[in-house]
Amino acid sequence: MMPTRFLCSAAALAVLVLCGCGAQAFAPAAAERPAAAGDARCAFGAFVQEDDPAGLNVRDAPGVSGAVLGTLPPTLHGVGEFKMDVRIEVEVSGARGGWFHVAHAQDNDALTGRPARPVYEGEGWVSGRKLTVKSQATAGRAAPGMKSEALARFDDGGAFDGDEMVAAGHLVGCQGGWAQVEFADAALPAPLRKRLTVKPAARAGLPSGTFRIWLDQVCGVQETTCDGLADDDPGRH
Amino acid sequence: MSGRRVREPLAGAACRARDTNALANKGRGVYDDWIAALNGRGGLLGAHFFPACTEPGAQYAARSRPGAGGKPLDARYAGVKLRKSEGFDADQDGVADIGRLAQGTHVFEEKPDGYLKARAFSPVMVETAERDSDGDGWFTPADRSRIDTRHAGKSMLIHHGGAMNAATVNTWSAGCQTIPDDHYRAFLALMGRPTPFPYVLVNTR
Repeated sequence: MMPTRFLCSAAALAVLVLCGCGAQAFAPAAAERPAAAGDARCAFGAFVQEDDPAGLNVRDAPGVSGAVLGTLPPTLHGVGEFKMDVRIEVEVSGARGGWFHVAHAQDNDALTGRPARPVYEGEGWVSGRKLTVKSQATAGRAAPGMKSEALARFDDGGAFDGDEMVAAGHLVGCQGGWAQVEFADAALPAPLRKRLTVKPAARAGLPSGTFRIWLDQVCGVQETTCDGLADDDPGRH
Repeated sequence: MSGRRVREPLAGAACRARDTNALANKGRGVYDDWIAALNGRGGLLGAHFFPACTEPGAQYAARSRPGAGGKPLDARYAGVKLRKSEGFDADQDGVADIGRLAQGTHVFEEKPDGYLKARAFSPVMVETAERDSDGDGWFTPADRSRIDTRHAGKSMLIHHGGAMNAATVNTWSAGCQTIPDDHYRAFLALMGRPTPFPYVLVNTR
């Protein structure tokens, strides 16, 4: 005779499976969270860089096979007197294999001056190729941490928060408050490239014309700056 | 004979015409200060005044973060829609405090790659900020550990803000000195291409 406890468990499993099928058919399942041993954990604000009018898919798992939970609208170009680019803002909390766990997406009606566009505000995964950051750091490093070697700097001591740097980069990794960003030389305007010195180590093992650096002082606000200690402040680490 | 070259050693002067509560205009900031471009293009030794905001809006204050039921964590911030929480916890009470540039003489320079698709100016040195540590929206001696000499770093820029003729005015200032979009081109034209220039910020009442 089958033990009662097992029967109950089997019944519960059947209900769960049925509910699971129903959920997939009628409503998206909850997103997986970064939990695997190899998953990176981080916390900073990033911007969605998407020009597909259909928007960016947010999925329930990292990878294109994940179910689509919702979408995030594309970048608005040419906004306002100075033709700004306005991107959807998200909070990043983890990464796996080039995909990033995001939540709390919002449009920036302060910048657009029009009602916020509907966004999927829940948790989910998006490709790092569609995420960028604005960093107020003045050095891009080999690894997350102020003691790590500086691999990229502007000759005039400038920060990585300019419009061109934001537009030219995409996320490839993260750890804590640090973002690993890949840049394509071709996407950087010539005057900016002239000011930027990148050591060969930042290009090692990458396709020609690209480099990767770690940046902190990530500011998730588009329309203004964030507080931040200077690079030589002993409080930075 | 070549004429004497007119240099443009500009100075900026800002008159914080009156203290503005960070909660004003639903925390979006108010253009009730003035920034003057002194000795403008052509060495006219003139002063041209532009509306400006020199104080942060509460839309960047952690206290406006929604809590249970969608109400802000701090009841004083009802009506303020949080944009993003910014600031430094000066009094170590667990809540980040928004800051404003302290009055005095500061030195700014051209920000090499601008900001928000326009030219902008950044401080040459780490700036001193005042923190609204009691969260009442004012920057006064009642704010514990008000003077913060480190955590603003060089982040308090001069950049453009939302237009004054917009349906909803938003100054985009979390402590930066902002001039409205619809006045900013004129401001830049008068600033020319200055070398580092002094920026004198005065609190008036």
